[in-house]
Amino acid sequence: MTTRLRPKLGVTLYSFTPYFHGRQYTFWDLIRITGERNLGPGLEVVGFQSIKGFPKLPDGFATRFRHAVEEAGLELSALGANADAGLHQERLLSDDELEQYMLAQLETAHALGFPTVRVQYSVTPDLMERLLPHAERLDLRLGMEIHAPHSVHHPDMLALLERYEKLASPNLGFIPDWGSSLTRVPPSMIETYREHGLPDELLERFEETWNEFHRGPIVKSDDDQIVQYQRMGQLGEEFGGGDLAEHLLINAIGLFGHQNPEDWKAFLPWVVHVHGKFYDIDADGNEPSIPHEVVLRDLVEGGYDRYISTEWEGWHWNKKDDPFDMVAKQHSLSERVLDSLVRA
Amino acid sequence: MFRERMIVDDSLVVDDGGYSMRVRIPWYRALPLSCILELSVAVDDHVAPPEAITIEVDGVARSLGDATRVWDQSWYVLDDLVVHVADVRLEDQVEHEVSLTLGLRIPYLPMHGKPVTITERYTKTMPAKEHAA
Repeated sequence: MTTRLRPKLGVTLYSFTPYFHGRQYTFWDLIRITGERNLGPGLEVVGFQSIKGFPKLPDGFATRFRHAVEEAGLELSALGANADAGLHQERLLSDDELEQYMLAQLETAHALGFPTVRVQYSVTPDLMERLLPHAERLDLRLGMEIHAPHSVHHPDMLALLERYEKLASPNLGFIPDWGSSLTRVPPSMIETYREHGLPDELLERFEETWNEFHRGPIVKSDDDQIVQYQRMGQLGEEFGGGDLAEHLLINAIGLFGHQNPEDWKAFLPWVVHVHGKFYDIDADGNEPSIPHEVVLRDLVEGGYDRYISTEWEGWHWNKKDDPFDMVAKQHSLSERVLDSLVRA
Repeated sequence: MFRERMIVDDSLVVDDGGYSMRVRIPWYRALPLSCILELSVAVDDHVAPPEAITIEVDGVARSLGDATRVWDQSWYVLDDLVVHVADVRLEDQVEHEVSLTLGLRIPYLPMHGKPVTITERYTKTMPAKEHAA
């Protein structure tokens, strides 16, 4: 029997956004609690969320941060950078401007001690290539996040894959976000909006429409995405659902992608980090819309042994469950599935 | 996102020139001021004219028009934005109905060259405090 490599678990503090935004817990509290509740060891942070003035750091911040992480028994997994191409009202940033904007965040990632940086789709293959020497100098891996409505089938991601194959650098890769490969709408979302008073018929039509998108061709362009927004928008208008319906319908395009969960395999050799997105844990301890036995099996079979950052995003509608408990439940599920896979 | 938190409870304050209120960002991360697309306030159904509104972060007050050109200063996710409305007198009543509409551009989500926008609306009832000079 051969010993199989095992991915490492961790969490992104983004999972605890309701507590942080609500000023119930500070950044330092969240690091400490992540350690205390054994929700690491991997720790991911979104720079523009957790650090005021990011990518600039307050005096002494890097030292205090490294100390807090060590004290909590955690390991740094990834820093979430943002490719804010739309900074200005009237135009997108040029490649030169975006390069400088990203570079400042890479320097900060290095100063804080992160090994990996999440980048986003406004960074083109050319720009990624321009960032590569900086990544090498700063000893960073850059991971393009593949987030809904993007998928491994989107031409932008395929173009980047082609560039990676040409450049063949261990400093460049992808970060799959499991929200791109849902199998159904999270049940808790439908339930919550029903409790908020949206009519059953709207909710049924909404689910039917999402399922229809799911059976149809996957989003490959902004036009495809806009068609889906329009379809959902019309549905909201038809029912006069107001802001609540708008949230439900619009979130469903931006959060719930239609890629087959098995299709991540094609990109596995280039995966440098994973966003273990999830929404619900059912009574049996499973995730009803993200088949963990599939996504974890493929990671293990592909020899992936880096971090999976658990990312609970059910808080968009689920105000009842405790984010710490939810992350703990997803870790139990992941450990259970990984145990069976590694033994197999 | 977090629209119920946007208007800070009991933050309505009357001063010599008008009134102010405090606002939390309805998003999970800091955004540059240039990402504020729309900010509209009304108290007791009286909509404030946009030119009477100033917004203040980190002790610097700007008109809405000026703020749209500021991309290197951000509204941090834990900070209150102070919205001031000049040249208005509130009705003399105990409780006021405060309404806010806030439109934000999400700068990392461009679609066809234009970032996605979100709009949040909320209304709260609260008393007005007198400004302590």
